[in-house]
Amino acid sequence: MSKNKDSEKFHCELCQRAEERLEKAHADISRMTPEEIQKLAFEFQVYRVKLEMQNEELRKTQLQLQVSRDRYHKLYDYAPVGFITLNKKGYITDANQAACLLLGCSKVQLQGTKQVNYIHTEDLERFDLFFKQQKKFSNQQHRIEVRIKQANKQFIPVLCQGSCNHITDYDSEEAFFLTLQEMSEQKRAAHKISQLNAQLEQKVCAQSTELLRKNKKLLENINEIKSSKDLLVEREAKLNSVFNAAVEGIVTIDEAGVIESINRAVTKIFGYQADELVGHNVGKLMPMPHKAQHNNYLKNYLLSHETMNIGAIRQLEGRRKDGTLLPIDLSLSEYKIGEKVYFTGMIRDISERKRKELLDKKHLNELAHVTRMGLMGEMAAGIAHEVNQPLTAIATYSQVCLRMLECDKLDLIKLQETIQKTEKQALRAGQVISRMRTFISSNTIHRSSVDINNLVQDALGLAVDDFRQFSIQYGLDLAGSLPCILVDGVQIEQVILNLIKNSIDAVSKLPKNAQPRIGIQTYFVKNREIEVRVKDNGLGISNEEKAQIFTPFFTTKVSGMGMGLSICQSLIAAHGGVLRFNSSIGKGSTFYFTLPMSG
Amino acid sequence: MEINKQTVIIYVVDDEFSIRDSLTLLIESVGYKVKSYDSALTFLDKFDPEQPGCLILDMRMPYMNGLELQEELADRCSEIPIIFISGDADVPISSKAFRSGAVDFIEKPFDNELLLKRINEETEKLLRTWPEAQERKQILKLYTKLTEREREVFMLIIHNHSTKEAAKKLKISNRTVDTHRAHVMEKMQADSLNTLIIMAMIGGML
Repeated sequence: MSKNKDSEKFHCELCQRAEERLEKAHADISRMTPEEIQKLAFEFQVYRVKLEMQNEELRKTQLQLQVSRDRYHKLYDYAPVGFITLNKKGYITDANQAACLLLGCSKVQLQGTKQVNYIHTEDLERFDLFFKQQKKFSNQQHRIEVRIKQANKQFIPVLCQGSCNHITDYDSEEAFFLTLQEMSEQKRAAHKISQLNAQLEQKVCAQSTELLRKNKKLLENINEIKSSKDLLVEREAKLNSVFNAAVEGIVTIDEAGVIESINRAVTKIFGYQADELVGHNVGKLMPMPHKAQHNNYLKNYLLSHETMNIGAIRQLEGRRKDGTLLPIDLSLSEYKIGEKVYFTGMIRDISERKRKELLDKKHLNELAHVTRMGLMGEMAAGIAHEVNQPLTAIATYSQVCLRMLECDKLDLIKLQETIQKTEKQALRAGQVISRMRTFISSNTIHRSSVDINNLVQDALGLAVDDFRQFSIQYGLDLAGSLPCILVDGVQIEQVILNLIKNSIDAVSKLPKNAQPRIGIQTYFVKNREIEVRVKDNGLGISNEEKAQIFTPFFTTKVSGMGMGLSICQSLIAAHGGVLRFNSSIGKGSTFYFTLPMSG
Repeated sequence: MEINKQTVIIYVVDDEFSIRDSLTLLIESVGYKVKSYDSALTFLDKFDPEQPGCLILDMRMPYMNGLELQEELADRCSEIPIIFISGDADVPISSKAFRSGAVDFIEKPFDNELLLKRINEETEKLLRTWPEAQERKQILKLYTKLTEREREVFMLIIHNHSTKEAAKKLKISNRTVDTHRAHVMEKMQADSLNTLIIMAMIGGML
């Protein structure tokens, strides 16, 4: 209603102002003619009608305007969005109910206060900028999010949208129109959404990283599988090449003895084609007794896992396609695929090796003989010396005999004695030569049943001259009732003699006041072997000499060859015995050797 | 000392019994006295340089071989003739033996006639030279008794230097020279200057 009053008031004012103007214009009416007045009156009348019509029109428009304005006011006041009208300076000139609600103040309280008072201090700067921009670019719409300070000092986020309103105020001051929209709900929802979003994103992210990781792993696995497959292929190729290039024949059989695979060497060794063997029983490669037994071997092994020589190398015979036999080395291994047991046999054709071994053995024998012959050559000088002595003596004794015969007074006894001496020396020379000959030809041991004590006696007989010469005391301690043993009597006698001669040399170096002694003993040891000891009380053997004593050509004698002990050792070794010695400086040495009963 | 075949001793040194035995019989059969030894050491033990003799020596022997014995005898100023017998005719060894004064080197088994011939030769040579050798030995023995100064005076006298000349050369007085001279004559058992000069000649000093 008040609006109606306003419009009436406005109307009255309008009439008043019109009358005032009219009064000013009425100054000259008295000087007008009646026609003129009539005319004027008419004109007035027209004009009045016109005005009335205009007025009518105006009134209508005003009514419309009023309706529109009411609508606007209603809209303004009851809109859910807060509206605030500001003047140029930023003072609040109007605010709707929503805005009041938002700011927690009444309209009256708001009017005349500055908008900025209700802005969060932190947002002021932004708001200021927004406000300036709004003034500057009035045709553009700007938005800003600010926090509004409520009367209860609480802040709520508000979306602020401004426009430069072209409504001219009464004061013709340009006003700004701000809409304030509470953000809190929206924002909370948005926040929630964004939070959820973020969570989701995080989840998605995590899941995708996990996925990525898994993917990568999968890829790695794939690569691994691929490379291991490559490796496998490579290995298989390698193994295949090894398998086929191997000199050894490789046969795999299943638990029934049926050949699963063979390599090329097998066909070479046995003369069969691959298809003649694969699928057939492995017995095909074996000579008779094994061939018949093989399936039983397998069965037994599978039952007991004991009887077969897994891992060990055995020398067996194989059978070629043409029926000939060949010596082979066989080693077996076992492997399982699932429940099935397979065996791999490595077969080496050793016929060549066997042949070589035989040849080598022959060579070795020849070499031994040659070595011995060479040794003989080396010993020639020594032999010459040994033979020269009796020869010289023989020549001299003979000369003596001749001179005796020429003599006037023939001493027959002396002559006989001298001839006997001559004979003895001749026999001695013969012995040396025959010993050497036996030694040279004794490539193999000519065993005969011998009483070792007899050998000792014989050797002693050959050394007795020397005992006498150096006045050596000798003692014999021979075990009674020794069993006869199978040895080469000549060789063993030579060893004993050699040891005795060495002992004689050792004791003859003794100082004058010492009595040289040599003892020879025989023992029966543990009913298994016979031992012969030659003991002297000579100077003994130094540690340096001990290390070399059995080395060929090592000697401490002026006229020695350095072969004696070396030969003795090999002769005893050839009989399955051992030659050893004990010695200490100043006390003497004992050389002893054993001969096994079994030979 | 009267010397003949019987006073000469033939020494046989060989480690081999049969060689010693047979050689002893052989050499005895031609009338020599024989002494045999089984090693160089036992020989050296019994060896008397005053005894005229001849040595039959084996080269190869344990402990001290023939060459070593030869050396040892040379060290003892022995002039005993040595005939080596050896199983092997090793040229370096035999040449060394000869260089050291061996009279022969016979290879075993040897011609006994040759050995006996060599023994005879050496014995005769020994019989010939023994008296002079003995005399020389005697003179040298006396000479070793002279002091250093007396030997200087001795050398000057036998070279026909007068007391004055000797005194001048030795830068000592005439009287001192005379005293030394008297000692020399006495120690050398010389009754005249002539005898002394002959002794010096026999002794190889002039």
